[in-house]
Amino acid sequence: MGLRALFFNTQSIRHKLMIIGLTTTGLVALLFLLTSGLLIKEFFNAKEAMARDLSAQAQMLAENSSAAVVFNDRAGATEILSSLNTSPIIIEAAILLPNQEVFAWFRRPAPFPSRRSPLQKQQDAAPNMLLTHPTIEKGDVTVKSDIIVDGKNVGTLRIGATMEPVYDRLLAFSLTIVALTAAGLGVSFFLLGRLRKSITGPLLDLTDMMERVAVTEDYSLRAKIETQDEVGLLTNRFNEMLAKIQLHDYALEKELQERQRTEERLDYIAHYDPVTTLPNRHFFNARLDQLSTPVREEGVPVPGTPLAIPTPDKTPKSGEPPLTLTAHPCAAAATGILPNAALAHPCAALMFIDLDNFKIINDNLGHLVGDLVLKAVANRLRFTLRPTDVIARIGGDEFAVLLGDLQASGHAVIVAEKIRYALADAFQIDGHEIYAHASIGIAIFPQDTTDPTDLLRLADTAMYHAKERGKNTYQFFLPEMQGKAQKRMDMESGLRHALANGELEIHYQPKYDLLQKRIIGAEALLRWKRPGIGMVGPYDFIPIAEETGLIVPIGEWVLNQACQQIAAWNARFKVPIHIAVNLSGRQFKERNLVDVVRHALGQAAIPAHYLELEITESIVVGTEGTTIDKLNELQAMNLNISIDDFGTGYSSMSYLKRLPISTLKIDRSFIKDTPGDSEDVAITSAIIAMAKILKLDIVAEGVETQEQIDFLLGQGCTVIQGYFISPPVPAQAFGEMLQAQADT
Amino acid sequence: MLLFWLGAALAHEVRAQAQEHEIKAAFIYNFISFTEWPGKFGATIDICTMGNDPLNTPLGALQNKSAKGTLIAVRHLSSGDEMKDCHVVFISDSERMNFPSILARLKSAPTLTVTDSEGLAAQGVMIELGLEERHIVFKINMNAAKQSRLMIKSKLLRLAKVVY
Repeated sequence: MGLRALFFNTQSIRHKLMIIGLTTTGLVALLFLLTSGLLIKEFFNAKEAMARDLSAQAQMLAENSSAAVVFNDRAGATEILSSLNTSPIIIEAAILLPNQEVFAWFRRPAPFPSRRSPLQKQQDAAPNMLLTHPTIEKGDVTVKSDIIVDGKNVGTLRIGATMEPVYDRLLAFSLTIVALTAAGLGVSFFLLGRLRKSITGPLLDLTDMMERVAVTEDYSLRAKIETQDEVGLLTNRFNEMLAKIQLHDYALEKELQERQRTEERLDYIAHYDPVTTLPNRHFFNARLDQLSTPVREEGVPVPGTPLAIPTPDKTPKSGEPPLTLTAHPCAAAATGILPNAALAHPCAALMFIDLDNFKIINDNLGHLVGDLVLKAVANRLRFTLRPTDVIARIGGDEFAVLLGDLQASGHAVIVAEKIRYALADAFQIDGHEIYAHASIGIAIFPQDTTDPTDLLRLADTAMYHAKERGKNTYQFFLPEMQGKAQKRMDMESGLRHALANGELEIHYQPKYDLLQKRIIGAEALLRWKRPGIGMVGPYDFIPIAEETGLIVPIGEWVLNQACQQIAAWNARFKVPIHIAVNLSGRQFKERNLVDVVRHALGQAAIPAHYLELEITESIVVGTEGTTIDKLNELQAMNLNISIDDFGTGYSSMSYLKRLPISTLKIDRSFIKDTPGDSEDVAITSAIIAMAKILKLDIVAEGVETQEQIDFLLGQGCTVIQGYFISPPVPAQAFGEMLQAQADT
Repeated sequence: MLLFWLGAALAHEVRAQAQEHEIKAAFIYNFISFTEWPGKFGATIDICTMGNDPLNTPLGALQNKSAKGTLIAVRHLSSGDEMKDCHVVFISDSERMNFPSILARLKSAPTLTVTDSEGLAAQGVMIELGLEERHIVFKINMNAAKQSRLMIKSKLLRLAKVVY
């Protein structure tokens, strides 16, 4: 049973219905067969019945004709036989005498039953013909009855009847049945077909719709509910499911859109500077890469290129990239480069723009103002450049411009001049009048280099030189700069290891008290002795140290060394001296500066007032609260703080009043030309006078001549520092000086 | 030659005649089967002949034949014998003159009277055999039979040429 069920289940509904239909039809056919069987049985019954009837008839006639037979009344006998004419099924009858002689006979006159042979012509044939050419055929019924008279057989009566009418009747009956059955089958087939269609139709429609939905992915489609049966229910549920899917799809769509928007936003954020709304470094680098990239696929944007770029004003949008990017025209120029790069046609120029003294603006007026300045600068730059030029903010106060279709180097000059001009006027920001000039370094592609990354570096080097030349100018990259840049990089890397390798030394320059006529202290100065190279000038490496932040560990080391030295010398010599250590602004950025100082003092176990800290004016120019706080803290520790190179910075009187300082050191530039130069004399005198009023100590730097000493003394400045007394010397030498002093 | 033919013809004629008598005798024999006598038969069915007739011989041949399950006895009657005991009496043509007295004697006796003398059926003989176109025919007098309480079956009646 299980197998049959399995077989049935795997058939399609169409087949199932067909099977059902066939089964039903089969049953009908069976019924038909049964009926036919019955018919056949009926036929045989009929035949039997007929035979019985005929027998009876024969007997009757035999009885009736017995007299005629014995009395040889052929006519009478014939007449008796002829009464059989009334029975349509009887074809012929005969009375035979015991000697087989035909006594009397009867043959149905023509037309015989239809299928009879033309023997009907022989109707009038002799009776004897009856025996030799019987018209009785197979299937006919023949009966005979003996004619008995008084117990004696005087003859035989034979009757032949045809079944044909019966056949015909049966045939007609069968045909009727067949016709009815066929009709019935036809009708049932038709009805079954309709039934089947009513089931499979909607099902197939449903599956068609499913396919359509799957192919077109259009979830707004709905299947038509054609019937109210199980299929209709299925369709209903299907539609419900579609509705859900549609919702999900919609939600998904929305989310994808959202995600895409987010991606675009992120992309924008990643590649754009929020302050100036210019592209940022990443963006710019990507564009630089284009210079060396072979032809890209059409329509594939450079990574990081957003499709929509907002601009704050209506000026032509420079720096905006086209949407479809093929290779940069200059890329072709680079690929066929000749050994002598100078012969190559200039194709692109990279301008590295660094704002001069932006830090001061930021420190003075705050970051908010600083940002506004940047924005304003960016706008002016944008306005100056063409839409095809790429401009980006690549650093705090650094911008880069890529001029894409350079015809000649002179073009870059024109642009640089335009930029300078644009930045020449003051910016009116937040009520302040601010000047923001820039140093511009220019490198040419492919002449200066065929490597785009390198191009930036060279422009940077050129810009650095522009700064050195005095700022607010532009500078083309020159091959010899390469050396300097290299040298700089070299120094930087050397410096990183200098401390660890013990290449650093501290030299001490004596501070001399003119009245006491003795060395009262020293300024600790950093020296660097590079193995294989020799001494590196402080003006060369200290700026680098400050820029790289190496000054912090180095400064800490200097502090510690100085404190240790104080301890050593004061232990050795009766009269204690103080050591002054220079602190750079960079060190003040460290939060733990005060702790470092404290630690150094603690380690050396010296009283704080033996350590002096020298700071430049620029440190204190600005409202950095933390700087002031640190200074206050340091002063609270009983340290002396002095202003180095006084007179060269921007400090105002009000600042001086508020700062926790104790000493001013007059910059050497004022001392140098005294007492000859009247201006310098005036300035120096003024400074000394001011210091006196403010109750600050004074030290004069760079004292080299006796005249200067005399002058200074006359002004009331008693402490000096300079080559006149001694240049900066190593600790040991200084120690000897102290020794000599102690001995006298 | 002519004699031969004559002889043949004669012989034929004789044979024909002989056949006629035999057939008649056969008829008479068969009449028995188609007649109902009142009451049962005795030991035999008696067929009596009267007169001198060529039929006497073929009738005599019926002796010991059976009909209706009973043996037939044939006897020849001289005049005056008891005819009433006969079941069947054949009245020869030679006795034609005596015919009325015979009938009077047989009156209401259950005896089937048969003759081949022409015209006697009309006069009361129950069955009269005749020859017509070489066929043996007979006439039946039903009334006479009824009077003698004899039933002649309708089958036989049907074959009769005439029924009185």
